[in-house]
Amino acid sequence: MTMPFDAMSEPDDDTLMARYAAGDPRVAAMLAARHLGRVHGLAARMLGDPTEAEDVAQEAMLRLWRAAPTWQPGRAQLSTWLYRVTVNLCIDRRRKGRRDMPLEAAGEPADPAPRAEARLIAADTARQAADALGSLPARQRAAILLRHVEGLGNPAIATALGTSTEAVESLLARGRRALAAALGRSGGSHAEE
Amino acid sequence: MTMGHDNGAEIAVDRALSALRDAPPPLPPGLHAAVLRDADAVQAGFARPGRVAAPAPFWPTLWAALGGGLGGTALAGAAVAGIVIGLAGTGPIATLVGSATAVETGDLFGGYAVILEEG
Repeated sequence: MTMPFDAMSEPDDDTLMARYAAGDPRVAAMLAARHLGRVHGLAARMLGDPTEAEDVAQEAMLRLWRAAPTWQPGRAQLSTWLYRVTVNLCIDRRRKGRRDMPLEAAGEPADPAPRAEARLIAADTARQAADALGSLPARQRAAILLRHVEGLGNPAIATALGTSTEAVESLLARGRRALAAALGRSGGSHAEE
Repeated sequence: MTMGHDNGAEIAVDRALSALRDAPPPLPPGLHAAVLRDADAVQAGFARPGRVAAPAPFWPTLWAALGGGLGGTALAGAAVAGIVIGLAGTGPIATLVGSATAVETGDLFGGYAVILEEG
């Protein structure tokens, strides 16, 4: 039985890339809706600067559009590829001696807590976390974010960072230790509450 | 149960990471539109399907290679001229071959011509 395309499951990223490269004007919005938020979120948490994060996210997506004609289906997961581009762009920016992560990088809690106190505590914890994360070396920060915020597995993180799975495990272990130390210096992120 | 220092630090890390997950940075207002503008601009630079990728048709390509209408007319004229010359040339050639045969025959059987004619 044949079904109309829209009635079937959502097309995968490889299909959308092929359709974009073929000139379909509708799929860019679909790809952006699927990936822009994560790309921007990673950039914002990596850089801690909303303006720079916006620039990086736009640049990463621009590279995605340009890669479409030569995109090889099945060779890499598009999300992992985008994470890799984003991390590299962020590291490049950090190498150029930009400023450290300010407080606003943490963003506001997405879930509107019913109680103002809970909301304030959550925002405070997120700010402390962002501060502590900003003190980590860039690759440790990237590994921590990809693992614990974006939810990637170690092999995907290894691909995104261009390293081995063993190196990722080491980055994560050192990153967590450094994060714990930074949180301890900043007041423990309400750990004892 | 006594919670050790390491355990407490781990809890603090997990809580901090959980707070980060729950507080995604808001998307800047103009970013989505800017990204889609980039997408449109990049896509406009791609070759439209069918314009470049389609193979050139055989006969029009051959016709153009022959010089189009002028070249085709000249080629057809040359072909017709070749055929006419070929057909018109068979007479003299046959005559020529026949003469040579006659000469040869005359030379070889000159003294027995009557015998040959009578069988």
